[in-house]
Amino acid sequence: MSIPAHLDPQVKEHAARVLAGMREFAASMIYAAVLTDDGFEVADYSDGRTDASRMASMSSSVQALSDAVARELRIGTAEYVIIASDQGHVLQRRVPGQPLVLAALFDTYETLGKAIAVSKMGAQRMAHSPASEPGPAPAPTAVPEPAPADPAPIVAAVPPRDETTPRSIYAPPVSASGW
Amino acid sequence: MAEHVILFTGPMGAGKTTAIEKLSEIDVVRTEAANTERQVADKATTTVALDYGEIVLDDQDKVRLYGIPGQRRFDFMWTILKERAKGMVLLVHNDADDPIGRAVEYLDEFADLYAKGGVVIGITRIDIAPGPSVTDYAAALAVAHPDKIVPIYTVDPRQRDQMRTLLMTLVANIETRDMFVERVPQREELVAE
Repeated sequence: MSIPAHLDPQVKEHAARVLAGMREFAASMIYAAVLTDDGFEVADYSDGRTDASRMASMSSSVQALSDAVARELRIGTAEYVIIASDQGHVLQRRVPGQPLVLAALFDTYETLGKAIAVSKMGAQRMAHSPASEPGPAPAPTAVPEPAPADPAPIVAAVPPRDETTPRSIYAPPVSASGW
Repeated sequence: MAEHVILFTGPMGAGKTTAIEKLSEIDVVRTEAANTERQVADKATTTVALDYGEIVLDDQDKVRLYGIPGQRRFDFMWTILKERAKGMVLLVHNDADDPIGRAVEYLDEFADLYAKGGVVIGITRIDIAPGPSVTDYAAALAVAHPDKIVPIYTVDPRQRDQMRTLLMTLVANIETRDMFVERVPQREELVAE
């Protein structure tokens, strides 16, 4: 059984970097969090006024209800959810391929289009989350398949990496924030 | 046709979703998510918003069945859902940590549903491990809530007939109380007379 994301230090660290990167990209982002499907906070970027644990639970419920509506109406999978209010908009979406949700609050000076784009990039970035193994890996019994190629970077122009510098496999490829 | 909104409450793993699945005559609306608390309840998924189903009893009572998420971190859903409800089926699994304490805790939390309509308790998984008896539950509830009369059953949420009995007991309780309230003059009426 793998370590739940909210208890995995590597996933938490990766999530914090992704959120910091989103903030660099959109200064209008007031609050953001990565949470497990069942409402545990993995990491958050907060103004200090938001109860991150409570928001994680609420975002989990909202996501599940949105999925239920999409299922009921037979309109496929809910791509993202928007809660628009007069003082900001919340945008949340599932992290592709992971039992995680990314939720973010932007102030009203942000265009909705940019909020959608930033959250999408954040979710894609989060999708490549490193998961810790709970224990030593079992001895291989067969020749392992080659690892899949790294996904295409979100930022189109990636500077060549200095191969002489040791680099953690979790280190971001572009900047300190992972963008 | 009378309508009732009934809440299924209780801790995670007590069988709320299963009970609603078994009772409902429509496709149940479920909001399941991958469960990361396998040490609390060893099941793949858990309800994170609500379950919803419907059943018509005796061709005259339409009952809307709402299931809550069992974890306290979703208590905002408890608040939302209990505003609409008139009665509660409280399910507690007998192999939980301190099941009697959990029963009392939920009865405290949803005490206003007792006042609004009624409460019935179903003890589940009684065959899984030795645990308190129904008499133990009744004794503890008599101490914690001496003003409340709450029927207690042992049930298997997978058995539709058992859950139907539990639900009909609750609906009968609510309707009896409604009749009683209608017949008894209110204090203001007595003063006016």
